[in-house]
Amino acid sequence: MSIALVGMPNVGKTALFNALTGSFQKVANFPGVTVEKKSASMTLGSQTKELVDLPGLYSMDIATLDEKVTRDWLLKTQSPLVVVLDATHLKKSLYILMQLLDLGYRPLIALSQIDQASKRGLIVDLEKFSSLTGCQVHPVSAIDHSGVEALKAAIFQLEQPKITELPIDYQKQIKTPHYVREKFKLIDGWLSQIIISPLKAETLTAKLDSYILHPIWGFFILFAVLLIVFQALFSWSAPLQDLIEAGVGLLGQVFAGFITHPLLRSLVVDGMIGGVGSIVVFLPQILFLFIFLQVLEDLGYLSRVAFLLDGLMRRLGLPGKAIVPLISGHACAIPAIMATRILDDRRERMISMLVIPLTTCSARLPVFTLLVAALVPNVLVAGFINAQALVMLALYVFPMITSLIVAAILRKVLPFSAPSMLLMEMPPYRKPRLSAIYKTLINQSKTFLSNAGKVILLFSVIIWFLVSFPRTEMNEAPQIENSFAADIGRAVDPIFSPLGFDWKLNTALIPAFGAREVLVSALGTVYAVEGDEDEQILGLSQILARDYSMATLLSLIVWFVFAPQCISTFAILRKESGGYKIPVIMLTYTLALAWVMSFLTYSLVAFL
Amino acid sequence: MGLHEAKAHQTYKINRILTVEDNAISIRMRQLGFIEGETVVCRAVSHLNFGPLLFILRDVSVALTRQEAALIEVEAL
Repeated sequence: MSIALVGMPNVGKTALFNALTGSFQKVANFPGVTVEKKSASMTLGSQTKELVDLPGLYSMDIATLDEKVTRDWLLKTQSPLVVVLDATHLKKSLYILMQLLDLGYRPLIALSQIDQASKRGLIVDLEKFSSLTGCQVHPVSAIDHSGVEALKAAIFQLEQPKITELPIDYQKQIKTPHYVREKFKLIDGWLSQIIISPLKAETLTAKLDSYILHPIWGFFILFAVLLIVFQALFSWSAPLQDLIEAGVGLLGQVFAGFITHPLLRSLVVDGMIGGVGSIVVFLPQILFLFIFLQVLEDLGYLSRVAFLLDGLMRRLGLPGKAIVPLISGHACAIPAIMATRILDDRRERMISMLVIPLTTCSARLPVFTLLVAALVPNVLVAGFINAQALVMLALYVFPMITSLIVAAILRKVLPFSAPSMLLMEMPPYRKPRLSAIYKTLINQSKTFLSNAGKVILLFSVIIWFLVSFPRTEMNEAPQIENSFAADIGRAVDPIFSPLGFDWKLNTALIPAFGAREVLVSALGTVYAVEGDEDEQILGLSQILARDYSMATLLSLIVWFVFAPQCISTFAILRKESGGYKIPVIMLTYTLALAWVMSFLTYSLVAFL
Repeated sequence: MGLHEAKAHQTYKINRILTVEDNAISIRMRQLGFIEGETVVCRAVSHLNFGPLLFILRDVSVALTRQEAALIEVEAL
């Protein structure tokens, strides 16, 4: 028998779910983060139970797809429940509890954010609360874990609820203003009985909003925030990257020292360490990106960005809420595509899914970092802004603008109605949680290194094989121009030569369709096997700057701005859109766009 | 007047909701407490003519587009 966590959006269900189960599900400070049910085991002594985290639900009167998941669970599964109520927003949270009581549920009440509420002076008469509702009440904090163990013990005592048969016109009843008003009256009545000391008014949010949501200052602040993020990506991560680079070099030397067989040494040092090492070096930058996204989400800033950009977004045909998945796409397109479930209109979801792959995901970061370093000198602009960081910011802003333009075109081309509602709750500002940042660091490091250890390693070995074979008559590695890789690179030359790419770039481009960052490891392997004499003293970016023209490097950057995402993105698009149509459209238009834009860039720059 | 004409820091009482069909907008309005008789405070107004507005309703901050706010008939208090 599984137990479900239910409650309104952004009341701390997932944070509590993580605290109860030890899971690492994504938590953020805006409504609608959990868009599908997730489950994990929860243990108490020798007993184990399954806990299910359901998407947030305002009411049984549902408005969106994710709410339908929860409503259907409540009506069909009828499992024991824990209802999570935000102690700092009781007036809001109690509504769904009222409806659950009407249905016959007697859930455990987890009074979340109790630490925050207590700091603001809230004192609740828990006994009175319990007697009014007929439910056990457990104050909990997912941050300091207070009350979590007591709640867990109570969960293990829960029994199967006896659900009331609903009146035939229940769904009609709950839609009437009379019903809502009566519930509000009841909530206000309960609150007057259970609150001993009310919350002190929270003034910080209003003060901050007067600047952050300001029609002019808000945009300056947004630009400054983005600039700080990209400055940090380049400046703060550099010492860590140097350290990893030195470590990778040392590892190569150690292995080169004790592997005597030349072919095996080349496989390990050039193929495996050279290929994987050239990617692992970008770990600090990727972690900084994820940390910043986590901090901005936790602060409640992403919802403010949605508010700020809503007017502009609507002119381009998408609701402001679409900015949340679009921004999430800068970390990874997969959760971002899933996050489109917060959009109510199916057609807007499809458009958002189609344009999310244009946003600069973290897998593009190593590629752009490499190419920007090859193109732009590492100097300061205006005395404090890193020139490379500025170009990098442009590489995030430009695809974002492009994705909005494509969305606007799709709106014009396809017979769609006006953009759907904004109508969203604005979360309060909250301090970023160190535990969430720590979990982000651990999770992303694991994901990145496991990807490097599997996909990147596999592609690196394949590329090494392609550049190291066929062997010569003396059983030596071929001249790289005579390798299998060169044959493949030349075979696709008619497609890519108009973009300024040679066979080496072509060879690295092909596996990059599987995972973008493979371009870097593939080039790393090609140059390592080629045994470029400068490889010892020059970084990959310097070699690229030496071997390729500005036109080619710009064309390559543009290719990666528009080219299709990794295989996983295709798979998640198929799952979320319910067929192959949307992924095939995405693949076709991004390929066409990438080719045309790269061709134009190369031709124009070469001409100039 | 429609709520889309709201001025920042002004309080309004909701007189009528003008949505006809039971769509996602009208459902979300009900869920968040936009019903006749409730009071709302305008906290922020975005761009001059086309940006959204931010209101406080039953202790919760809610953002609405002008088109959505125009569906709510209010009187200033």
